[in-house]
Amino acid sequence: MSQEILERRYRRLLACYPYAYRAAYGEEMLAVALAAARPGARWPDPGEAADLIFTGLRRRLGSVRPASHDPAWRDAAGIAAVIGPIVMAAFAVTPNPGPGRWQYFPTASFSGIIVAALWFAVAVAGMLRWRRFALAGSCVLSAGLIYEFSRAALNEPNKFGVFGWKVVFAALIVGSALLALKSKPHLLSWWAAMATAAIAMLLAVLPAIQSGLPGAGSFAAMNSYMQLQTLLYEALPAGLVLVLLIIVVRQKAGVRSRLMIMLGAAAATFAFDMAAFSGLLSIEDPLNYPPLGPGWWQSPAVMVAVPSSALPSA
Amino acid sequence: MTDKVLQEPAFLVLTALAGGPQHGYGLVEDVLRVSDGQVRLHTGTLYAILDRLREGGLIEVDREEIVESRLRRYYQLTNAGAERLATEADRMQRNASAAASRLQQLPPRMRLRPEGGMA
Repeated sequence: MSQEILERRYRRLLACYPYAYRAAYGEEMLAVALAAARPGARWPDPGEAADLIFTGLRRRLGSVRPASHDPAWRDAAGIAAVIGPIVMAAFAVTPNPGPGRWQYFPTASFSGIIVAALWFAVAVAGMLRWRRFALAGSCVLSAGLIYEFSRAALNEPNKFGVFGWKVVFAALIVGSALLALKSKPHLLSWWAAMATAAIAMLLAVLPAIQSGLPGAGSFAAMNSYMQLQTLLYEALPAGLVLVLLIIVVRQKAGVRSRLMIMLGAAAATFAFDMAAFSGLLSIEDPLNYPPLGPGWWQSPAVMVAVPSSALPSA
Repeated sequence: MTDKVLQEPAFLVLTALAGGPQHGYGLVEDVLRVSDGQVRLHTGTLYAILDRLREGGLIEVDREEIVESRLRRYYQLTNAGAERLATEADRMQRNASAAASRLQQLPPRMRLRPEGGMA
C-alpha cells in the first residue's frame, strides 16, 4: 500500500522530465528510485526529490533551443521580413479615420506614399538579402510608427487601440529582420514577392489615383466611383490575403507552421481591428471605442505573445 | 565530452560498469561500494550521467529485461568507454603519485600521516 503511494508520488516528480524522455526512461528511473527508498516510506526522500526536479527541469530546458539557433525559425523570419513590409506598405495610406468620422475612402497623403515607398524598399532589401539594411530600415520605420501612434494615443486615445495591429506588425517585422540576419538565401521566389507587391502597390496608390480622377472631391463623382471603390477596397485586401496564404502553404512543413504562428498573431489583431470598424463586433461608433476596451489590451497582449511563441521551438 | 575531464560520479559509474553490465539500481549500489560509501547517486543524477556517457559513446545498452513487470535496462562499457576509463585512471594515478612524492618532501612535522591515506 505504502509502496503504491510512494510510486504515485515519484511518478508526479518524474513529470518534471519532458514527455519523450519519460516515455523512454521513466519506468526504469521509477524502479531505481523505489529500490533506493527506505522500506515502508510513503514520501520520496527529499534529496532524491530535489534531484529529480532539478535534473528533470534541466532536461526540459536543455531540449529548448532559442529561435535564433533554429534554422526553420530563421527561414520563416526571412520570409516574414519580406512580406511583412509589403503588407505595411499596402496599408501605409489606407485606411485612416478622419476627424470625427470614419473615412472609408481615404484621401491621398504625400507622407503616406513616402512611407509606403520606404516599406517597399525594406521588402526589396529583404529579397536582395541586404539583411542589415532591411533591419535598419524596419527599425527606423517602426520607430516612426510608434512615435505616430503614441502621439495619437495621447491626443485621441481611441485611435491607438484600433490601429494597434500596425504596431504588432512592426514589432514582428523588426524581430523577423533580426532573426533573418543568418537565414538561407532564396527563401521566397521573386514571383511570389512580385505578386504580393503588385497588390500592395495598388492598395497604396489607390487613394492617389482616386483624388486624381476627373471631378474628384465633388459629391457626384464620389457617388459614381463608389461601387468601383467598394469593390477594389474589398477585393484587393482579399487578394493580398490569398497570395499570402499561398506563400505560407507552399513552404516546408517546419517553416510553414512557424510562419503561421508569426503571421497568425498579427493577422488576428488585424482581423479584430477590421471587424471592429466594419461593425461585425457591434461596436456602434468605432471612434468612441472604450479606451480600456479590447483594442487596448489586444495589442500589448499580442506583442508579448508573438515573441514569446517564437522563442521555444521544442 | 571526450576531451573534458570525467567528473567523479561519471568516473565511478564507468568503474562500476568495468565490472560487467549493470542495471540502474545495481549501479547505485556498486558506486556506493566502489567509493567506500562516499558517493550515493540520486536517480536524476545517475540518469543524467548515463545520458552523457551514452551520448559520448562510452556506454551502451546491453539488454533489457522485465522484472516484476518493470523494465530493467542493463548498461555496459563500450571499447571507447574502457579506453577512456583507462586514460582517466592513468591520469589520476599520475596526479596521485605526484601528490604523494611532493608530500614526501614536506618537513617531517607536516607529514600528518606518513603511511599515506590514499583511498
